[in-house]
Amino acid sequence: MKKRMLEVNDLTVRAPGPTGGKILVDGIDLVIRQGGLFTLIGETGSGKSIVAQALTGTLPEELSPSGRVCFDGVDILRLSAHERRSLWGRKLFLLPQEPERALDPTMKVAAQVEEIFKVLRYSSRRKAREETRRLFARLGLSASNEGRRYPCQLSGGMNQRVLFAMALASPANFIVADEPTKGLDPLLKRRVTDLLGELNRLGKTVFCITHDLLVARRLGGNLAVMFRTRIVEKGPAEIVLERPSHPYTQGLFQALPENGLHPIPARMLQEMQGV
Amino acid sequence: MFEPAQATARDKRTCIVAENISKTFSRRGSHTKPLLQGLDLRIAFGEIVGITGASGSGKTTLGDILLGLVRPEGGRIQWAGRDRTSLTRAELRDLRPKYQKIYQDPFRSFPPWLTIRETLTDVLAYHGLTRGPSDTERRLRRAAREVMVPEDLLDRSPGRLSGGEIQRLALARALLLEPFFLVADEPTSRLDPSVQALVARLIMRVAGERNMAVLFISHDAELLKVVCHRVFALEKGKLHARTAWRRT
Repeated sequence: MKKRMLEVNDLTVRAPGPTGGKILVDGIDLVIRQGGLFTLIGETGSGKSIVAQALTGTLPEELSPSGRVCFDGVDILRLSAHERRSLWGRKLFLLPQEPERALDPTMKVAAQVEEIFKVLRYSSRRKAREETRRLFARLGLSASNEGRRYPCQLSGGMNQRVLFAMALASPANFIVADEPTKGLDPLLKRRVTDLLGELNRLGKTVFCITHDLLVARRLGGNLAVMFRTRIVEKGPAEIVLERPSHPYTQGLFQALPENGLHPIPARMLQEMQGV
Repeated sequence: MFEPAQATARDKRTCIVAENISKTFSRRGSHTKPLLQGLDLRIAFGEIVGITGASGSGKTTLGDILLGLVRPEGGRIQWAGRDRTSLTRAELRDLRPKYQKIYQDPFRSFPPWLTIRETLTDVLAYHGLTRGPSDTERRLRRAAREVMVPEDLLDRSPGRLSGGEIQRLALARALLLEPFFLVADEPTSRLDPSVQALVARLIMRVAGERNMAVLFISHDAELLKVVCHRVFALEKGKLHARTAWRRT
Protein backbone atom coordinates (compact mmCIF):
# COMPACT_ATOMS: atom_id res chain seq x y z
CA MET A 1 0.00 0.00 0.00
CA LYS A 2 1.31 3.45 -0.91
CA LYS A 3 2.48 5.76 1.85
CA ARG A 4 0.20 8.37 3.37
CA MET A 5 0.82 11.73 1.74
CA LEU A 6 -1.73 13.61 3.81
CA GLU A 7 -3.30 12.67 7.10
CA VAL A 8 -5.85 14.92 8.73
CA ASN A 9 -6.90 14.16 12.33
CA ASP A 10 -9.73 15.91 14.12
CA LEU A 11 -9.33 19.15 12.12
CA THR A 12 -11.53 21.83 13.65
CA VAL A 13 -11.58 25.45 12.51
CA ARG A 14 -13.26 28.23 14.48
CA ALA A 15 -14.17 31.76 13.47
CA PRO A 16 -13.14 34.53 15.85
CA GLY A 17 -15.70 35.18 18.60
CA PRO A 18 -16.15 35.87 22.31
CA THR A 19 -16.91 32.25 23.30
CA GLY A 20 -14.35 30.45 21.19
CA GLY A 21 -16.12 31.40 17.95
CA LYS A 22 -18.45 29.62 15.58
CA ILE A 23 -17.24 26.21 14.39
CA LEU A 24 -16.64 26.31 10.62
CA VAL A 25 -15.09 22.84 10.27
CA ASP A 26 -15.80 20.22 12.89
CA GLY A 27 -13.52 17.26 13.60
CA ILE A 28 -12.52 16.22 10.07
CA ASP A 29 -10.47 13.04 9.57
CA LEU A 30 -8.98 12.22 6.16
CA VAL A 31 -6.21 10.08 4.71
CA ILE A 32 -4.90 10.62 1.18
CA ARG A 33 -2.25 8.25 -0.11
CA GLN A 34 0.53 9.17 -2.51
CA GLY A 35 -0.73 9.25 -6.09
CA GLY A 36 -4.34 9.11 -4.90
CA LEU A 37 -7.33 11.13 -6.01
CA PHE A 38 -9.73 12.46 -3.40
CA THR A 39 -12.89 14.47 -4.01
CA LEU A 40 -14.77 16.48 -1.39
CA ILE A 41 -18.37 17.26 -2.28
CA GLY A 42 -21.12 18.79 -0.18
CA GLU A 43 -23.33 21.61 0.88
CA THR A 44 -22.69 25.21 -0.21
CA GLY A 45 -21.12 26.90 2.82
CA SER A 46 -20.40 23.65 4.69
CA GLY A 47 -16.69 24.48 5.03
CA LYS A 48 -15.18 22.70 2.01
CA SER A 49 -13.00 25.63 0.95
CA ILE A 50 -11.84 26.12 4.55
CA VAL A 51 -10.64 22.50 4.56
CA ALA A 52 -8.69 23.23 1.35
CA GLN A 53 -7.18 26.32 2.98
CA ALA A 54 -6.18 24.28 6.06
CA LEU A 55 -4.54 21.61 3.86
CA THR A 56 -2.52 24.17 1.93
CA GLY A 57 -1.62 26.37 4.90
CA THR A 58 -3.56 29.33 3.50
CA LEU A 59 -6.17 29.75 6.26
CA PRO A 60 -6.93 33.41 7.01
CA GLU A 61 -5.06 34.59 10.13
CA GLU A 62 -8.26 35.30 12.08
CA LEU A 63 -9.44 31.66 11.95
CA SER A 64 -8.28 29.28 14.70
CA PRO A 65 -7.49 25.71 13.59
CA SER A 66 -6.90 22.75 15.90
CA GLY A 67 -6.10 19.06 15.29
CA ARG A 68 -3.42 17.83 12.89
CA VAL A 69 -2.82 18.23 9.15
CA CYS A 70 0.22 16.03 8.50
CA PHE A 71 1.64 16.53 5.03
CA ASP A 72 4.63 14.33 4.22
CA GLY A 73 5.17 13.81 7.95
CA VAL A 74 5.02 17.53 8.84
CA ASP A 75 2.07 19.12 10.67
CA ILE A 76 1.16 22.14 8.51
CA LEU A 77 -0.82 23.74 11.34
CA ARG A 78 2.36 23.98 13.48
CA LEU A 79 4.50 25.60 10.79
CA SER A 80 5.38 29.29 10.76
CA ALA A 81 4.05 31.47 7.94
CA HIS A 82 7.51 31.39 6.32
CA GLU A 83 7.72 27.58 6.51
CA ARG A 84 4.23 27.21 5.05
CA ARG A 85 5.08 29.56 2.21
CA SER A 86 8.15 27.46 1.34
CA LEU A 87 5.82 24.51 0.57
CA TRP A 88 3.76 26.43 -1.99
CA GLY A 89 4.67 25.54 -5.55
CA ARG A 90 7.41 23.16 -4.36
CA LYS A 91 5.30 20.56 -2.56
CA LEU A 92 1.74 21.89 -2.69
CA PHE A 93 -0.09 23.53 -5.56
CA LEU A 94 -3.47 25.23 -5.19
CA LEU A 95 -5.76 25.62 -8.21
CA PRO A 96 -8.14 28.30 -6.93
CA GLN A 97 -11.79 28.93 -7.84
CA GLU A 98 -11.04 31.91 -10.09
CA PRO A 99 -7.93 31.24 -12.24
CA GLU A 100 -7.52 34.98 -12.97
CA ARG A 101 -6.84 35.58 -9.28
CA ALA A 102 -3.86 33.20 -9.30
CA LEU A 103 -2.21 34.65 -12.40
CA ASP A 104 -0.11 37.80 -12.54
CA PRO A 105 -2.21 40.32 -14.52
CA THR A 106 0.90 42.25 -15.64
CA MET A 107 2.79 39.29 -17.13
CA LYS A 108 2.19 37.27 -20.31
CA VAL A 109 0.99 33.79 -19.45
CA ALA A 110 3.77 31.74 -21.11
CA ALA A 111 6.35 33.79 -19.20
CA GLN A 112 4.55 32.89 -15.96
CA VAL A 113 4.89 29.17 -16.73
CA GLU A 114 8.53 29.62 -17.81
CA GLU A 115 9.22 31.32 -14.50
CA ILE A 116 8.12 28.18 -12.64
CA PHE A 117 10.62 26.08 -14.58
CA LYS A 118 13.37 28.63 -13.93
CA VAL A 119 12.70 29.28 -10.23
CA LEU A 120 11.44 25.92 -8.98
CA ARG A 121 13.22 23.51 -11.32
CA TYR A 122 16.34 25.61 -11.98
CA SER A 123 15.94 25.19 -15.76
CA SER A 124 17.87 27.34 -18.23
CA ARG A 125 15.88 30.01 -20.11
CA ARG A 126 15.97 27.94 -23.29
CA LYS A 127 14.86 24.75 -21.56
CA ALA A 128 12.10 26.61 -19.71
CA ARG A 129 10.78 27.97 -23.00
CA GLU A 130 10.88 24.54 -24.67
CA GLU A 131 9.15 22.83 -21.76
CA THR A 132 6.47 25.54 -21.65
CA ARG A 133 5.82 25.15 -25.37
CA ARG A 134 5.48 21.39 -24.91
CA LEU A 135 3.08 21.80 -21.96
CA PHE A 136 0.96 24.37 -23.78
CA ALA A 137 0.66 22.08 -26.82
CA ARG A 138 -0.43 19.23 -24.58
CA LEU A 139 -3.17 21.41 -23.10
CA GLY A 140 -4.41 22.65 -26.47
CA LEU A 141 -2.80 26.08 -26.21
CA SER A 142 -0.14 27.70 -28.37
CA ALA A 143 2.84 29.26 -26.60
CA SER A 144 3.35 31.62 -29.54
CA ASN A 145 -0.28 32.73 -29.67
CA GLU A 146 -2.18 32.45 -26.34
CA GLY A 147 1.14 32.30 -24.50
CA ARG A 148 1.96 35.84 -25.57
CA ARG A 149 -1.21 37.27 -24.10
CA TYR A 150 -2.07 38.62 -20.67
CA PRO A 151 -4.64 36.80 -18.46
CA CYS A 152 -7.25 39.51 -19.15
CA GLN A 153 -6.99 38.77 -22.88
CA LEU A 154 -7.81 35.07 -22.43
CA SER A 155 -11.09 33.36 -21.62
CA GLY A 156 -11.68 31.75 -18.21
CA GLY A 157 -11.19 28.29 -19.71
CA MET A 158 -7.85 29.25 -21.26
CA ASN A 159 -6.61 30.77 -18.01
CA GLN A 160 -7.68 27.57 -16.28
CA ARG A 161 -5.48 25.59 -18.67
CA VAL A 162 -2.56 27.96 -18.09
CA LEU A 163 -2.89 27.18 -14.38
CA PHE A 164 -2.88 23.48 -15.15
CA ALA A 165 0.33 24.03 -17.14
CA MET A 166 1.78 25.70 -14.04
CA ALA A 167 0.68 22.76 -11.89
CA LEU A 168 2.38 20.35 -14.30
CA ALA A 169 5.48 22.54 -14.46
CA SER A 170 5.88 22.75 -10.70
CA PRO A 171 7.63 20.02 -8.74
CA ALA A 172 4.65 19.94 -6.33
CA ASN A 173 3.20 16.47 -6.00
CA PHE A 174 0.04 17.45 -4.15
CA ILE A 175 -2.53 19.44 -6.12
CA VAL A 176 -5.55 20.99 -4.40
CA ALA A 177 -8.28 22.13 -6.83
CA ASP A 178 -11.07 24.24 -5.32
CA GLU A 179 -14.20 24.11 -7.52
CA PRO A 180 -12.14 23.98 -10.74
CA THR A 181 -15.21 23.58 -12.99
CA LYS A 182 -17.46 26.25 -11.51
CA GLY A 183 -19.18 28.33 -14.20
CA LEU A 184 -17.66 26.37 -17.10
CA ASP A 185 -19.75 25.09 -20.00
CA PRO A 186 -20.15 21.28 -20.25
CA LEU A 187 -17.36 20.86 -22.81
CA LEU A 188 -14.83 22.83 -20.76
CA LYS A 189 -16.05 21.16 -17.59
CA ARG A 190 -15.31 17.76 -19.06
CA ARG A 191 -11.94 18.94 -20.34
CA VAL A 192 -10.91 20.36 -16.94
CA THR A 193 -12.10 17.19 -15.18
CA ASP A 194 -10.04 15.08 -17.58
CA LEU A 195 -7.03 17.35 -16.99
CA LEU A 196 -7.29 16.68 -13.27
CA GLY A 197 -7.41 12.96 -14.03
CA GLU A 198 -4.34 13.38 -16.21
CA LEU A 199 -2.44 15.21 -13.45
CA ASN A 200 -3.25 12.22 -11.27
CA ARG A 201 -2.11 9.69 -13.89
CA LEU A 202 1.16 11.60 -14.17
CA GLY A 203 1.78 10.79 -10.53
CA LYS A 204 0.40 13.86 -8.76
CA THR A 205 -1.84 13.40 -5.75
CA VAL A 206 -5.07 15.32 -6.37
CA PHE A 207 -7.56 16.72 -3.84
CA CYS A 208 -10.57 18.24 -5.58
CA ILE A 209 -13.48 20.19 -4.11
CA THR A 210 -16.67 20.36 -6.13
CA HIS A 211 -20.42 20.59 -5.73
CA ASP A 212 -20.92 18.93 -9.10
CA LEU A 213 -21.84 15.26 -8.72
CA LEU A 214 -21.07 14.54 -12.39
CA VAL A 215 -17.54 15.89 -11.99
CA ALA A 216 -17.10 13.75 -8.84
CA ARG A 217 -18.32 10.67 -10.71
CA ARG A 218 -16.00 11.29 -13.66
CA LEU A 219 -12.99 11.83 -11.38
CA GLY A 220 -13.48 8.60 -9.40
CA GLY A 221 -10.98 7.83 -6.64
CA ASN A 222 -12.11 8.35 -3.06
CA LEU A 223 -14.82 10.74 -2.02
CA ALA A 224 -16.14 12.41 1.13
CA VAL A 225 -19.42 14.28 1.59
CA MET A 226 -19.50 17.36 3.79
CA PHE A 227 -22.63 18.69 5.47
CA ARG A 228 -22.89 21.46 8.10
CA THR A 229 -19.13 21.54 8.93
CA ARG A 230 -18.75 17.74 9.17
CA ILE A 231 -17.89 14.84 6.90
CA VAL A 232 -20.99 12.65 6.95
CA GLU A 233 -19.96 9.95 4.49
CA LYS A 234 -16.82 8.75 2.75
CA GLY A 235 -15.49 5.88 0.66
CA PRO A 236 -14.68 4.95 -2.94
CA ALA A 237 -16.48 7.40 -5.25
CA GLU A 238 -18.35 4.78 -7.25
CA ILE A 239 -19.81 3.24 -4.09
CA VAL A 240 -20.78 6.51 -2.37
CA LEU A 241 -22.29 7.89 -5.57
CA GLU A 242 -24.11 4.70 -6.55
CA ARG A 243 -25.37 3.75 -3.08
CA PRO A 244 -25.27 6.82 -0.84
CA SER A 245 -26.00 5.90 2.77
CA HIS A 246 -26.40 9.32 4.43
CA PRO A 247 -29.77 11.07 3.87
CA TYR A 248 -27.98 14.28 2.84
CA THR A 249 -26.11 12.52 0.00
CA GLN A 250 -29.35 10.80 -1.01
CA GLY A 251 -31.07 14.21 -0.96
CA LEU A 252 -28.40 15.68 -3.27
CA PHE A 253 -29.32 13.12 -5.92
CA GLN A 254 -33.04 13.80 -5.52
CA ALA A 255 -32.30 17.51 -6.07
CA LEU A 256 -30.71 16.99 -9.50
CA PRO A 257 -32.89 18.32 -12.36
CA GLU A 258 -33.00 14.89 -14.03
CA ASN A 259 -34.44 13.45 -10.79
CA GLY A 260 -37.14 16.10 -10.44
CA LEU A 261 -35.33 19.12 -8.93
CA HIS A 262 -36.55 18.46 -5.38
CA PRO A 263 -34.62 20.52 -2.81
CA ILE A 264 -33.99 18.83 0.53
CA PRO A 265 -36.74 20.21 2.84
CA ALA A 266 -35.46 22.58 5.58
CA ARG A 267 -37.05 20.37 8.25
CA MET A 268 -35.09 17.34 7.00
CA LEU A 269 -31.86 19.34 6.96
CA GLN A 270 -32.46 20.24 10.62
CA GLU A 271 -33.08 16.59 11.49
CA MET A 272 -30.00 15.45 9.58
CA GLN A 273 -27.75 17.57 11.72
CA GLY A 274 -28.36 15.03 14.44
CA VAL A 275 -27.78 11.95 12.21
CA MET B 1 -46.17 54.78 -14.70
CA PHE B 2 -46.38 51.64 -16.84
CA GLU B 3 -48.17 48.67 -15.41
CA PRO B 4 -48.12 45.15 -16.88
CA ALA B 5 -51.83 45.56 -17.67
CA GLN B 6 -51.06 48.61 -19.82
CA ALA B 7 -48.25 46.76 -21.49
CA THR B 8 -50.42 43.76 -22.24
CA ALA B 9 -53.05 46.08 -23.70
CA ARG B 10 -50.39 47.47 -26.01
CA ASP B 11 -48.95 44.17 -27.13
CA LYS B 12 -51.06 41.20 -26.04
CA ARG B 13 -48.89 39.07 -23.78
CA THR B 14 -45.40 40.09 -24.87
CA CYS B 15 -43.13 41.59 -22.24
CA ILE B 16 -39.93 42.05 -24.18
CA VAL B 17 -39.02 41.80 -27.84
CA ALA B 18 -35.60 41.70 -29.49
CA GLU B 19 -35.57 42.03 -33.27
CA ASN B 20 -32.64 41.45 -35.59
CA ILE B 21 -30.08 42.16 -32.87
CA SER B 22 -26.44 42.25 -33.89
CA LYS B 23 -23.37 42.86 -31.80
CA THR B 24 -19.66 42.42 -32.48
CA PHE B 25 -17.15 42.01 -29.77
CA SER B 26 -13.46 42.77 -29.51
CA ARG B 27 -11.69 41.11 -26.67
CA ARG B 28 -8.50 39.57 -27.89
CA GLY B 29 -6.44 42.54 -28.98
CA SER B 30 -7.95 44.49 -31.83
CA HIS B 31 -9.62 41.47 -33.46
CA THR B 32 -13.39 41.83 -33.58
CA LYS B 33 -15.77 38.93 -33.98
CA PRO B 34 -19.51 38.84 -34.53
CA LEU B 35 -21.21 37.79 -31.30
CA LEU B 36 -24.91 38.14 -32.08
CA GLN B 37 -26.08 38.09 -35.69
CA GLY B 38 -29.65 39.07 -36.52
CA LEU B 39 -31.04 37.52 -33.35
CA ASP B 40 -34.80 37.55 -32.65
CA LEU B 41 -36.47 36.77 -29.31
CA ARG B 42 -39.85 37.46 -27.71
CA ILE B 43 -40.66 36.67 -24.11
CA ALA B 44 -44.25 36.77 -22.80
CA PHE B 45 -45.30 37.85 -19.31
CA GLY B 46 -44.99 34.88 -16.95
CA GLU B 47 -42.77 32.96 -19.36
CA ILE B 48 -39.31 31.59 -18.50
CA VAL B 49 -36.98 31.31 -21.48
CA GLY B 50 -33.74 29.38 -21.03
CA ILE B 51 -30.51 30.21 -22.84
CA THR B 52 -27.56 27.85 -22.94
CA GLY B 53 -24.37 27.92 -24.98
CA ALA B 54 -20.61 27.65 -24.77
CA SER B 55 -18.55 30.05 -22.66
CA GLY B 56 -18.10 33.27 -24.63
CA SER B 57 -21.07 32.62 -26.95
CA GLY B 58 -22.77 35.89 -25.94
CA LYS B 59 -25.40 34.74 -23.42
CA THR B 60 -24.62 37.43 -20.84
CA THR B 61 -24.32 40.07 -23.58
CA LEU B 62 -27.77 39.11 -24.88
CA GLY B 63 -29.21 39.53 -21.36
CA ASP B 64 -27.49 42.89 -20.98
CA ILE B 65 -28.80 44.08 -24.36
CA LEU B 66 -32.36 43.13 -23.35
CA LEU B 67 -31.86 45.11 -20.12
CA GLY B 68 -30.53 48.14 -21.99
CA LEU B 69 -27.13 47.82 -20.28
CA VAL B 70 -25.31 47.15 -23.56
CA ARG B 71 -26.17 48.89 -26.80
CA PRO B 72 -26.50 46.58 -29.84
CA GLU B 73 -25.01 47.71 -33.16
CA GLY B 74 -28.14 46.73 -35.04
CA GLY B 75 -31.75 45.79 -34.39
CA ARG B 76 -34.23 47.02 -31.83
CA ILE B 77 -35.55 46.21 -28.38
CA GLN B 78 -39.16 46.72 -27.31
CA TRP B 79 -39.99 47.23 -23.67
CA ALA B 80 -43.65 46.91 -22.71
CA GLY B 81 -44.69 47.19 -26.35
CA ARG B 82 -42.64 50.31 -27.12
CA ASP B 83 -39.36 50.67 -29.00
CA ARG B 84 -36.85 51.39 -26.27
CA THR B 85 -35.24 54.21 -28.24
CA SER B 86 -38.63 55.98 -28.58
CA LEU B 87 -39.21 56.18 -24.82
CA THR B 88 -38.97 59.61 -23.24
CA ARG B 89 -36.57 60.23 -20.36
CA ALA B 90 -39.48 60.12 -17.88
CA GLU B 91 -40.84 56.88 -19.33
CA LEU B 92 -37.40 55.30 -19.18
CA ARG B 93 -37.05 56.37 -15.56
CA ASP B 94 -40.33 54.63 -14.75
CA LEU B 95 -39.56 51.51 -16.74
CA ARG B 96 -35.86 51.08 -15.93
CA PRO B 97 -36.41 49.46 -12.47
CA LYS B 98 -38.85 46.99 -14.04
CA TYR B 99 -36.00 45.28 -15.91
CA GLN B 100 -33.81 43.54 -13.35
CA LYS B 101 -30.91 41.10 -13.16
CA ILE B 102 -29.49 38.59 -10.70
CA TYR B 103 -25.91 37.47 -11.13
CA GLN B 104 -23.93 34.24 -10.92
CA ASP B 105 -22.10 35.94 -8.06
CA PRO B 106 -24.93 37.30 -5.87
CA PHE B 107 -22.48 39.32 -3.79
CA ARG B 108 -22.36 41.73 -6.75
CA SER B 109 -25.87 42.85 -5.76
CA PHE B 110 -24.84 43.96 -2.26
CA PRO B 111 -22.17 46.40 -1.03
CA PRO B 112 -20.10 44.41 1.52
CA TRP B 113 -20.07 47.28 4.06
CA LEU B 114 -23.87 47.48 4.43
CA THR B 115 -26.30 45.04 6.01
CA ILE B 116 -28.87 43.47 3.70
CA ARG B 117 -31.57 45.58 5.38
CA GLU B 118 -29.63 48.79 4.66
CA THR B 119 -29.13 47.88 1.00
CA LEU B 120 -32.78 46.93 0.48
CA THR B 121 -33.94 50.09 2.28
CA ASP B 122 -31.70 52.17 0.00
CA VAL B 123 -33.15 50.43 -3.08
CA LEU B 124 -36.70 51.31 -2.04
CA ALA B 125 -35.78 54.89 -1.11
CA TYR B 126 -33.80 55.50 -4.31
CA HIS B 127 -36.72 54.45 -6.47
CA GLY B 128 -39.25 56.32 -4.33
CA LEU B 129 -41.20 53.14 -3.62
CA THR B 130 -41.79 53.60 0.10
CA ARG B 131 -44.24 55.72 2.06
CA GLY B 132 -42.09 55.78 5.20
CA PRO B 133 -40.21 53.55 7.65
CA SER B 134 -43.16 51.30 8.53
CA ASP B 135 -43.98 50.77 4.85
CA THR B 136 -40.30 49.97 4.15
CA GLU B 137 -40.32 47.46 7.01
CA ARG B 138 -43.50 45.84 5.70
CA ARG B 139 -42.05 45.54 2.20
CA LEU B 140 -38.76 44.07 3.47
CA ARG B 141 -40.60 41.48 5.58
CA ARG B 142 -42.76 40.51 2.64
CA ALA B 143 -39.68 40.23 0.39
CA ALA B 144 -37.87 37.99 2.91
CA ARG B 145 -40.97 35.78 3.23
CA GLU B 146 -41.36 35.56 -0.52
CA VAL B 147 -37.81 34.21 -0.99
CA MET B 148 -38.10 32.00 2.14
CA VAL B 149 -35.29 33.65 4.10
CA PRO B 150 -35.64 34.20 7.88
CA GLU B 151 -36.14 37.90 8.64
CA ASP B 152 -33.21 38.05 11.08
CA LEU B 153 -30.80 37.46 8.16
CA LEU B 154 -31.68 40.94 6.88
CA ASP B 155 -29.52 42.38 9.66
CA ARG B 156 -26.42 40.53 8.52
CA SER B 157 -23.72 41.78 6.18
CA PRO B 158 -23.39 39.84 2.89
CA GLY B 159 -20.18 38.10 4.01
CA ARG B 160 -22.05 36.37 6.85
CA LEU B 161 -24.56 34.64 4.58
CA SER B 162 -24.33 31.34 2.71
CA GLY B 163 -24.38 31.18 -1.10
CA GLY B 164 -28.01 30.05 -1.14
CA GLU B 165 -29.16 32.74 1.31
CA ILE B 166 -27.43 35.60 -0.51
CA GLN B 167 -28.72 34.44 -3.92
CA ARG B 168 -32.30 34.36 -2.58
CA LEU B 169 -31.80 37.84 -1.09
CA ALA B 170 -30.45 39.07 -4.45
CA LEU B 171 -33.73 37.84 -5.92
CA ALA B 172 -35.61 39.65 -3.14
CA ARG B 173 -33.71 42.84 -4.02
CA ALA B 174 -34.87 42.55 -7.64
CA LEU B 175 -38.46 41.68 -6.61
CA LEU B 176 -38.74 44.79 -4.41
CA LEU B 177 -38.95 46.78 -7.64
CA GLU B 178 -41.83 44.63 -8.90
CA PRO B 179 -40.07 43.79 -12.17
CA PHE B 180 -41.75 42.85 -15.44
CA PHE B 181 -38.60 41.09 -16.61
CA LEU B 182 -35.71 39.37 -14.85
CA VAL B 183 -32.42 38.16 -16.30
CA ALA B 184 -31.13 35.32 -14.12
CA ASP B 185 -27.51 34.94 -15.27
CA GLU B 186 -26.33 31.52 -14.08
CA PRO B 187 -27.97 32.07 -10.70
CA THR B 188 -27.36 28.52 -9.49
CA SER B 189 -23.93 27.62 -10.85
CA ARG B 190 -22.18 28.25 -7.50
CA LEU B 191 -24.66 26.25 -5.45
CA ASP B 192 -24.88 22.61 -4.39
CA PRO B 193 -27.63 20.55 -6.07
CA SER B 194 -30.14 20.98 -3.24
CA VAL B 195 -29.72 24.76 -2.92
CA GLN B 196 -29.70 24.97 -6.72
CA ALA B 197 -33.08 23.22 -6.77
CA LEU B 198 -34.38 25.57 -4.06
CA VAL B 199 -33.36 28.74 -5.95
CA ALA B 200 -34.56 27.42 -9.32
CA ARG B 201 -37.95 26.41 -7.85
CA LEU B 202 -38.23 29.84 -6.22
CA ILE B 203 -37.66 31.61 -9.56
CA MET B 204 -40.30 29.35 -11.17
CA ARG B 205 -42.79 30.18 -8.41
CA VAL B 206 -42.31 33.96 -8.34
CA ALA B 207 -42.34 34.18 -12.15
CA GLY B 208 -45.71 32.40 -12.11
CA GLU B 209 -47.19 34.34 -9.19
CA ARG B 210 -46.02 37.74 -10.43
CA ASN B 211 -46.54 37.07 -14.13
CA MET B 212 -42.90 38.04 -14.61
CA ALA B 213 -40.89 37.24 -17.74
CA VAL B 214 -37.52 35.58 -17.08
CA LEU B 215 -34.44 34.96 -19.21
CA PHE B 216 -32.69 32.09 -17.41
CA ILE B 217 -29.06 31.66 -18.49
CA SER B 218 -27.31 28.42 -17.57
CA HIS B 219 -24.81 25.85 -18.76
CA ASP B 220 -26.97 23.15 -17.23
CA ALA B 221 -29.22 21.89 -20.03
CA GLU B 222 -31.02 19.47 -17.69
CA LEU B 223 -31.90 22.32 -15.32
CA LEU B 224 -33.22 24.49 -18.15
CA LYS B 225 -35.47 21.68 -19.39
CA VAL B 226 -37.21 21.57 -16.01
CA VAL B 227 -37.32 25.29 -15.23
CA CYS B 228 -38.08 26.88 -18.60
CA HIS B 229 -41.05 26.96 -20.94
CA ARG B 230 -38.77 27.36 -23.92
CA VAL B 231 -35.03 26.68 -24.22
CA PHE B 232 -32.58 28.00 -26.82
CA ALA B 233 -28.93 27.32 -27.47
CA LEU B 234 -26.95 30.38 -28.51
CA GLU B 235 -24.60 29.26 -31.26
CA LYS B 236 -22.77 31.38 -33.81
CA GLY B 237 -24.78 34.44 -32.88
CA LYS B 238 -28.23 32.88 -33.35
CA LEU B 239 -30.75 31.11 -31.16
CA HIS B 240 -31.56 27.46 -31.86
CA ALA B 241 -34.61 25.90 -30.18
CA ARG B 242 -34.05 22.99 -27.78
CA THR B 243 -36.51 20.70 -26.03
CA ALA B 244 -38.13 21.95 -22.83
CA TRP B 245 -40.12 19.66 -20.52
CA ARG B 246 -42.38 22.36 -19.10
CA ARG B 247 -45.50 23.23 -21.01
CA THR B 248 -46.00 26.86 -22.08
